[in-house]
Amino acid sequence: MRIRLEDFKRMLLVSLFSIPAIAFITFDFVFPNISVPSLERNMLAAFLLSVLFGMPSGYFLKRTDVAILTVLVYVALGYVLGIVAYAAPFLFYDFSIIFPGAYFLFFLNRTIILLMILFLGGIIGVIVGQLLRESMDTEETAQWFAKP
Amino acid sequence: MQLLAGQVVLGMGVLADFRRHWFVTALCVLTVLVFLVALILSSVNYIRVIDAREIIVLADAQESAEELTNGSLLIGLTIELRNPSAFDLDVNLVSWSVALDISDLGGSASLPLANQYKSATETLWVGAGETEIFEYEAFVSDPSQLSQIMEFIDYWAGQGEEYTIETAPYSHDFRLTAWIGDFRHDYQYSGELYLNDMVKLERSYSEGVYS
Repeated sequence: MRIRLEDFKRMLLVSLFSIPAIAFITFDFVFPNISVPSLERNMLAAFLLSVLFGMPSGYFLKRTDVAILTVLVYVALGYVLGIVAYAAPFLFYDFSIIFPGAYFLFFLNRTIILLMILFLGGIIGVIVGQLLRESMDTEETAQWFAKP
Repeated sequence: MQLLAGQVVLGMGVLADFRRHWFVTALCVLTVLVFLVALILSSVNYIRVIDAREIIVLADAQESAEELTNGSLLIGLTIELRNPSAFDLDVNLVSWSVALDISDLGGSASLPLANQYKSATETLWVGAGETEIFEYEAFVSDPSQLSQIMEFIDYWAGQGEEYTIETAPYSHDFRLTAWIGDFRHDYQYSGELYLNDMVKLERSYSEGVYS
């Protein structure tokens, strides 16, 4: 699999569409009571949303391998952003964590299944996004050649 | 130079594709904005809750003991709950007790003199930025209690410590439990109890020490 510079740029740009959502879902999964709004740890809702967030990758990236790699990238970056939000009081303010290792391990412990679901949903979203793109392209072409 | 030019052209290609599919791109951008705002609001909420846990304190406790003309004792405590946070506090448990440590006399370690308790059924809200003052007073008129206090005073007089019924070292214990804001705190499973603990505030004042 060879990734060209254009593919890489597309991957990063398309990833931006999904990173905040992944970050929010992971944060919300750890703190459903203070999140606004909250999915209340509804796995089905998280899965359906992850399919939705995978769609831009399938829609904007024609190569399926690159699109799946993009899912991996945005889930990873979104997860990191979620950890940053989780550690915000201690990163940006003068609050101290008693056991930093345990604190971050707790986040991983809470969200590891969710992480897999987000990745799986993202891959399904890639397929749905590609189908949508093909459908829209077909319709566009049909309209282009349609008689007035 | 040629490579740089190529990069620019390819970059434009990506943007041109976004522009061509402007409707889908707009939907994606809208989604990004919605979730970014939700993430920022949630993080800010988290920071404010952690901050509230630090800055909400008990302060300015004033203990009092007064001997009345009929020989009984009027004992009291005034203490402030300061809430400079941005959240209202749902105070659902407040208790105060006062006792005298008589372990040196033999027998029981402590002589309970008075106590008051407010349960979760009575709601008390302390607004954001407000200070609530808790005032307690109790009469100690039971002859057996008064006689044990006098026995304590006599014992320490023999040890060289001069106490009166008003200056005896009464031990006040004040405890308060409150919920921060109106965040959900009715989680039942053991793995979720940390969510209750996060928005739960426990403060106490015992023997001159705030915690």
